[in-house]
Parts: sequence; C-alpha cells; structure tokens
Amino acid sequence: MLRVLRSYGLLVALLVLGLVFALAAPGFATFGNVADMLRDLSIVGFMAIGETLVIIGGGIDLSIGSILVLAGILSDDLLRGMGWNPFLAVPLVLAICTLVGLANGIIVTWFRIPAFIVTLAGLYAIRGIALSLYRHDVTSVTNALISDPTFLVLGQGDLFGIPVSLLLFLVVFAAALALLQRTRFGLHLYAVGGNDLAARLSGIDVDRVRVVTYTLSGFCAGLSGVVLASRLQTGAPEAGLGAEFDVIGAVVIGGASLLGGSGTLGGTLVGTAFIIVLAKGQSLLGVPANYQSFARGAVILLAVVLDGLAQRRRLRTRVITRAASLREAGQPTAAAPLGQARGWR
Amino acid sequence: MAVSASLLEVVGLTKAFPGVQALEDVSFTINPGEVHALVGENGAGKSTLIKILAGVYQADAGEVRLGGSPVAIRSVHEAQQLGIAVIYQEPALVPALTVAENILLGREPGAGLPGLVDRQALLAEAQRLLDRLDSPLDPRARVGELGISWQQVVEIAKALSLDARLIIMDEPTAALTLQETQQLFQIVRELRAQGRSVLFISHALEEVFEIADRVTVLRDGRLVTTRNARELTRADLVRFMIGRAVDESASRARPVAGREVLRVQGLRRQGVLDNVSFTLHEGEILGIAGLVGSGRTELARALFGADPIDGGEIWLAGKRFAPRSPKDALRAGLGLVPEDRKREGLVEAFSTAANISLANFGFISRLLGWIDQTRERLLATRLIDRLAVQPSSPTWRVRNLSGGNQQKVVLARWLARNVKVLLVDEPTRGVDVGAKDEIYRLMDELARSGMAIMMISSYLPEILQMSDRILVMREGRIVLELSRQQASEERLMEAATGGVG
Amino acid sequence: MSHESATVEQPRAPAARRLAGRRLSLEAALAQYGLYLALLLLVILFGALSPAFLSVDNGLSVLRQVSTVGIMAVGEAFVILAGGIDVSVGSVVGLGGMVAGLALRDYGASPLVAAFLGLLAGLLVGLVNGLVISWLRVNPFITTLATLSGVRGIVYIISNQYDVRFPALDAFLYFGRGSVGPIPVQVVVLVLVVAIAWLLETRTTFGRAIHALGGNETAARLSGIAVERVRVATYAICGACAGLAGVLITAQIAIAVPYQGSGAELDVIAAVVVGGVALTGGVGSVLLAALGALFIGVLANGMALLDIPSIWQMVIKGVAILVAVGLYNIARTRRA
Repeated sequence: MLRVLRSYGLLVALLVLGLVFALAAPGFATFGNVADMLRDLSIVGFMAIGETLVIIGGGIDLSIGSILVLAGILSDDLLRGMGWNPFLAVPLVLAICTLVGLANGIIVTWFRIPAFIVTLAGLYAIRGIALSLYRHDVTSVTNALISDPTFLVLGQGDLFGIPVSLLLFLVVFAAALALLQRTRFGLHLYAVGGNDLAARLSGIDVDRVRVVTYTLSGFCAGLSGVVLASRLQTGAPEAGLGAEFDVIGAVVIGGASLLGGSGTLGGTLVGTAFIIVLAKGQSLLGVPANYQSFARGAVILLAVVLDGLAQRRRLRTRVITRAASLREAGQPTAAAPLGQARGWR
Repeated sequence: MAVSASLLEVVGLTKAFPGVQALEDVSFTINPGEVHALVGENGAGKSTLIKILAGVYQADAGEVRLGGSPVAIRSVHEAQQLGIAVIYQEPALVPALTVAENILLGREPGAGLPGLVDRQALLAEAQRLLDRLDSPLDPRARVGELGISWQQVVEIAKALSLDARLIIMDEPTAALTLQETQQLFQIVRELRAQGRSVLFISHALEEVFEIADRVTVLRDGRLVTTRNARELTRADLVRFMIGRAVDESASRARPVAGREVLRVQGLRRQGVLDNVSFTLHEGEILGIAGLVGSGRTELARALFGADPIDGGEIWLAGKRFAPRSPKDALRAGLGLVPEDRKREGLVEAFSTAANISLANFGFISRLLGWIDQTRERLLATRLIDRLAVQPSSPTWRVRNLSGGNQQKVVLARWLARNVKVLLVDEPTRGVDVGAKDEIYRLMDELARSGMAIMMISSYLPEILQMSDRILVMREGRIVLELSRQQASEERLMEAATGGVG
Repeated sequence: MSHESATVEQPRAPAARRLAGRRLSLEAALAQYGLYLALLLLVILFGALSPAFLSVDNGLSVLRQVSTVGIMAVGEAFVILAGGIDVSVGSVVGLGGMVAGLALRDYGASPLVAAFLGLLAGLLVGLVNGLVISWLRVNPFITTLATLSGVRGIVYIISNQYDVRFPALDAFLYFGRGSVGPIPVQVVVLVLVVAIAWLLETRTTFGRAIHALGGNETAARLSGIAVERVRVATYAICGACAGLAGVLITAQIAIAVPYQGSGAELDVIAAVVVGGVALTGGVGSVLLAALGALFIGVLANGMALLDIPSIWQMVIKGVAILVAVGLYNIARTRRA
C-alpha cells in the first residue's frame, strides 16, 4: 500500500491540489492561467532538469538562481543595450552559462571542495558579477525593454496554442530523459551517485561524470534565464531569488535522495508542477508573498520528512523480509517476488 | 581433479603491518577448476591474503604466479585484468540500477551512436550470464530491492562477465540462510564445471567439507597445511586451525557464579528477536554463539537501550529495567563493547584519554560539566596501566593504535565505570594474538571479581575457552543452552546452523 | 560485516604514526597555526600597501564590522563541529534586530529587555531547527534552508514590510555605537562570546560531547551521550548568537530593516570554513572560526582601502575561501 502511495502519491497530491485551487481560487481553472503555469513550469523546469542530474550524481548546485540572473542580464545587455542579433546573442549567453557550470564542476572535483560550498560561493559571486554587468542605460521609453520579436517568441510565443517555452521544455526534457535512460552516461551517473566505489571499480571516471552534470546544470540554468528574459522582456536582477530552494525542493519532492544515486526526471517533473501549482494558486488566492514562501518551505519540509519516514519504513521492511526468510527455510528470499512478478524461469 | 598446470600460485608471501606480522612466508597453489577453501582463526591472515590477491595491498615479499609466470598486482584494476574477481561481504553494487546494468557496468554494449546503450543486448547478455549460473534471477530486477544472496549472484555474474578465472569470496555464506547457501553452492559448482576456480574464506567448517576440493589452513600468518578436503576430518581441521585439540583448551576453572544479576524474559522485536529469555549471574561469562544475522548483536543492543523492542521484560538485579537509550543503560550499570570498534566504538580523532572519558563524564567533571583535567589524566593513566595499552601516553590519538590496543581502550571505558554487566560483542575481532591473550585474561579477572559478562563471539574456540555457560542463537531465537562442559564446537555449530551438515 | 572489519588492521606510514601521536606533524601544525600565519602576512601586506590600513581608526572600524560576523561564526561553529549545518543564520539576524526594534517601538521595552528578546527570538528559531532535525530527522541543510525562507517571511510579516524606526534610546544605541574605553562594544561582546564559547568547547563535557558527536555519532551514542539533546543545544546556541548579532547591528544603524542579514549566511560559513572547521564535523574549534571571520574581514577591509573594484573583491574573497578549504583538505587527507 505504501509503495503504491509512494509512486503515485505525489501525482495524486498534485491533482488534489489542482482541484482545490480550481475550486477555491478565482481564475485558476482558466486557459490563460494554465498557459501561464505551463510557461512557469518550463522556466523552473529547465533548472530542475539540470539540478536533477547533479543530485543523482551525489552533488548539489546552489548557483542556478544566479546563473539564471546572469543569463537574463547578459541577454538584456546584448539584445537591448547593444542591439545584437538574437541568433548570435542567445548561443553566446548559453555558452557562457555552460562554462560557469563547467567551472563549478572543475572546482568541486579537482580541489575536492564540497559542492555545497563551491556553489554557495558561486551563488553570490555570479550574482555579483551579473549585477555589475547590468547596464540598464535607458535612453528612451522604446529602449526600456527587449523588443526583438524573434527573441520574444521564446518566452511569449505560441505554436498552435501551445507556449513555445513549453515546447522547448519538452524537447529538453525528452533529451535529458534519453540521456538518463538510454546512454552509458545515464547509467554511470546513477552508479557515481549510488555507490561510487562500485563505479570506480567498474572503470568509470567518476570525476568526469560529475563535471558533466555541473556543466549541464549551468546550461539549463542559462536556458531558464534566457527564456525568462524573453518573457519579461528584461533581464530582471531580482529574478531567481530563492529559485535554488524551489528547484531543489521540487527535485526532492519528486523522489530524489540528496545523498545521490536515485531520482527520476518524471518525479522531478511532478515535483516541479507541484511547486508551480502551489505558487500560482496561492497568488491567485491573494496570499501575500512572504506567507507564500513560508508555505512553500513548509510543504517542501513536509515532503522531505515523509520521504525520510518512507525510507526508514523501507529499510525496516528489508530486515523483516530477510529474517522472515530465515525462518522459512525452504522458501526463496523476499527478493523473489520480483522474479515471480516477471515469471520464474 | 588432478590437473597439470596450476592456475595461481602464491609463493613466500609476506606482509607486515605496524605491530603485527599478518602473513609470513605463505605458499600454496590453486588449481584450475577447483574450489579452494581458506580457513583459519580470526587474525590468521586470510583477509590480508585475499586483499593482496585483489590488488588492495601489496606484499612485502614473495610473489604471485598466474599460470606459472609471476605477476604484479598493483591495483584492483590489474587484478581484474588478470582474471581475479573478488566478492566482499558488502556487495559493490549500485542500488538504483538493475541487475543487468550492474553486471555490465562500465562495459555496456553500444548501439549505433556513441554513448547510447543497446538495452536489448544488455538484457540478453545479462540473461546469458545468469543462465550459465543456472540462476532464476530476473535481470530487470532493481538491485536495491534484492536480498543479499541475490546481490551475491549479481556479483558472481559480474565476475563471470569479466571472464574471471579465479573468483575469491570473503565469507560469502555469513549472511545467508541454509537455502541460500545451497543456491550459492550450486553456482559455485557451476563455476567449477566451467573450469574456473573459487577461493573462499569460511568459518563454517561443514561448508568447507561440503563444497571445497582443497583446503588451506593459516594460523598466525603462517601456512599450516594445504590438503585435499577428502583427506581431512573435522577434528583434523580444527586442530590445524587452533594448533591444539579442542578439549585441551585451557580451562580456567572459575568459582561458581553468584547471584542472578540480569534476567531477560520473552524479549522480542519484529523480524529481529523472537522470544529471547535467559539469565546472567555475577561472576559468570555467558557466551553467545551463532552465525551472523542470528540476532546476537541485536540482543546486546536491545539490552543496552540502543535499539527499541516490541515486547518482553528485562530485570536488572531484581528491578524492572526498560532502557530508552544507552544513557539509561549506563546509569543502570551496563556497558557495551560494540562489534565494530572503528564505526561504533571509538572517536578516532580523540586521544586515548578522551575516548576513555567518553562514558565517564560524571567522573571527570564536577561542577556544570567543567572538566577536571587532572582527574581525566589520572583515570586514563590508571586504566592504561591496568590494561597495558601501548603506547602508554594518554594523549596518543587512538587512530594510531593497533587493533588490539584500540579494543583495550574501549574496554577501559567501561572498566572505569565499574559496570556490573558488560556486554562484549566480538572481543577479539581484528586483534593480534598478544592482545587477544591479554583481553582473555582481563575478562577472566573481571569475572572473578564479580562482573557479569555476556560475550558474543563468532569464534567457537573462544566461546569454548572463555564461557561458563553458552547460548546458541539462530534466527533471533535461543536454540540451545548448555554449560561449557557439555559443549563442543560440533554441537554449537550444529545448533547455529540448524543441524544440517 | 564488511571486509574491513575482518582484516587485521589498516597499514600506516610509520613516520606519520611516530609523529602524529605525540608531536604535531607538519600538516597538522599548518592546519592549526596556518591561519594565524596567513592573517599576519595579510596584515603586513596591507600595511605595506596602504598607509591608512594600520591606523587605529581603521583597526577599530574593521573590528566593529567583524564582530557581528565573528559572533555568528562562533555559533555556527558549534553546529558544524557537531556534524550539522545552519544556513538560516542570515534570516535570524534579521529577526533578532526586528524583534528588538519592535519591542522598543511598540511595547516600550527597556533597551536591555529589547536586546534580550532579540537574542531569545534567535534562540527559539535555533530550537525549532534543532528539534526538526533531531526528532523528524530531516536533513539539516534542507531544514535550515526552509527556516531561512520561513524566518525571513516572519520578519517581513511582523514589520509589515516596512523599516521599523524605534525610539533612539541612548542605552540601546550604546550596544551598537558605544565603546568600553577605546574598544567598541561589539568587540567586547565578541571577545566575551569567544571566551565563553572557547571554555565551553574545550573545558566542558558539553564541548567534548559536541566533538564526539561530530567525530563518530554512533560511538557517542553508545557511550551514553544524549546525542539529540546536544544537537538541539548546538542549534539553539547558533540561533542565539545570530539573534545577538542582529541586535548589535540594529543598534548600530539605529533602525530595524526587514532585509537585515540577507546573505550573511555565506559570510558566516565562509568564516567558519576558512577557520579550518571541517564541514563534515568533528574537526576545528570555535576560536579558529572567529579568527576566520577576522581574516575575511581584514581581507575585505584591505581590499576596500586599496580601492579594488568590487567584482575583483568578490572574486578574491571567493578564491581565498576555496584556497583555504583546499589546503585544509590536503592537510587532512595527508594526515589521515
């Protein structure tokens, strides 16, 4: 029973939450709002994808919010301030963010400094650098916002009624999914996070895997920043404040363990949706911003506690089944149910 | 089983660690297609030998020859390349991945584009390997949800996929049930039929006779003998292992035990302890025997308040005793020397004195927790002297002590408290011979002075030598209770394993 | 039942063993005293490059700035030594100041009471952190991250999102602007806090328990130490220190702003880390944590006096932290 709850419980909770808000909050169950939430989902979702990879590998990236800001500000400067072509600006911005992620990864693996410290330092350093690069020299009213139509498609456009950012997110999601489930890298990533001794013994370059996750995380955060900038038409410096908490929360709610070695993109997706729905519903209900973060913090905390309890329950179950099998000499051990489900040979 | 060329030869292998000579001039041969048992007491050198073959340690002297030519095994990778696979008691597997993914970790079959994995091929290959072991294990099962015996199968399949010629197993049956052990042996026979060799360490002598072709006995780091299993009797083996006939063991005739100091009634904990009842008296050493996983350590921890219980009662000196934490147990006069002193017993960064005072805050501090450094030092020095801890400086960091001395420090902690009941879990595990003897003598002394000692040990000669009474546990239950006079290794082993073999 | 326990023992390089037990090996010595040395070098360097640096005025100004971070670093060191972490300190600093300000403005509290309430508020937050982490067994990082947001939210709520101007009672402002003789009050408080903390850490069983907890929690538990209680206490201390720091800052700027302390957690953790306290717990001391705060403060002050552009300041600060952690790591792995 508990196992079913764990796999689908989150989905159920999400649906229940959505239902509650649809009934209680004015304007929640409208097309416009759903489209808005999907756009929000895309933006947070990019970061969540990157963070999921990092966390599966046993690390953590706290600098994503700042990389998002960096991307936004760079986009603003290049497109609005210097009038660059988006086809040149966007790849450059993304490249820079990717390099920042790479730097994170190298510092963590090479210098063996805990990821928590490195990315926490990055959180402040990158934000500082980004803010100093922010030249909001508004020369006229028309110059106050990014207005390049090609660029604006990213955050504001629709394709057959579906937000472009969502489509983009789905593409990235699919790519990440393929990476995790169909490539060697994905398997090795779980190994590195789950039992890095086993990974090493199998000849996996643990450091390289970790560096890649941080690099991808940087890229994803950059993507978020670019799309957000497109949506807001400006490189908002206050954006992304606390984003890392929401994103990590979403990943943990989605079932990943902070110790590494477990977690799925599907879970992260549901976790992210959960956070988005919660945020949107609250603001439609008129909950003041500070109570919102309060409530969000409480929810994430609750999710982690429940996860902790469920994990301990699972460990106890393992002991029970092993001892039970000790008693039933003549019966295969508890692991057999898996084999049975798929058929003994 | 006669084969001309040997698979692996160990010649004159020697290895020393600070304070102890782990191996000295050990030489023996493993033939292809052979199941070879490595037997010996704790500390005889078996683990060291295996680690040298696995590439974890390097020998000080001697050589290893494969197929006649000397090889250097400088790393775990090199060992793997040479066809040596090691399966430890704690499987080196990734819980989140499936059986197939674990077996072929790092060598996944590719599919078209670089980096992609051909899942069909992966499953097929894993299935093929499992078939060769005749195992019903499903390659799609997630390793994290498997019991230990299945995880072992995965490790063996992995070894197979590396085409290991020699598969080394370190006490593989320690955590297995009877049924699972038989399944493992089936696989071992399969491996043998394929011309591979298996070298396994075991303490379960009847297993040795059941599955091994040849047996090598180590004692105190030296080779005693290598024989065909068929040529040996159990008594022979025991004699080789401990260097004396079992019934010649020094019996320290102790005065008859005194008053009852601990009574346990119907202790139970779901899945771990099943209706455990026994008594313990002053001046008595109660030996608790049984295989790993039989619930002995859990019993000690439950008595010490370290784990909760579901039911049952404990009486200490006639009064109800229901510890909710080790702190309660301490106050009631209990002490626990845990099974794994590195992980559970010592704070490695602390000095000897600080480790001793860890359970003696009341003594070293008078007012508000202020530590009286003189008292602390005096306490430490007194105990260091009594137990002959080497080096004798109280400020020496325990990290740098030998295993035997570390164990003494843990014991010292409880001696300082003058505990009434001492629970000792594996008193001489990983302890060199000299310190082992000292610890035995100490325990004898303590018992004579009136302390009640419950001694858990996986090492039957130790149980027989030290205990006044013996309990054997199996599957969380006490299955046998006898006095030392009535006991023998055979009877104890029979009871511990359920009587088969 | 791992293969480790069945082995005789782990090999150790004979030389290191000879030294490490008795005298300090070179690495250990560096780890202990390296910070003092670095600080000295830094002072010499800045003194040479900038004449204003070595003036008494500047010295006092640095000390004033460093004191509050130092006080927080001491509290944080307790938590980290015991194997935990508290990233909520920044918000608690805000809470402490805000509570004190509100007590003065809306409840006419006396300065001492207001200050005490601010400290108490911090202590309570610390207790909550500690209880959630110990009882509910939630990861300390997540818990205190949640508290970071939650408490900040509370600060905004109780202040109605406005700055709180309180009656400028001299007695209260004394906490932030006064001096005892030539020494600023904050510095005196810092010295007191460090002294008390140092005594607690090195001379009491509580301090011993904290180190044991950080070194090997299981061994501590099996030796009868009330592990949960000790842990909760460390978080309470950390919260109290942050609350105190908040009161001092508010007293200095004479206004309680809701965003006070934002981002302070990084400075605090940086100070602790530079001071050589290992994030894994069990290694380090509160004294060095305070010294770490001093080091970073001096570094920042020197750079400001030399007119180094702020981006570079941040980069240098970051590099200094990373280098410090890297060096400590090397020293530790070499020694182990």
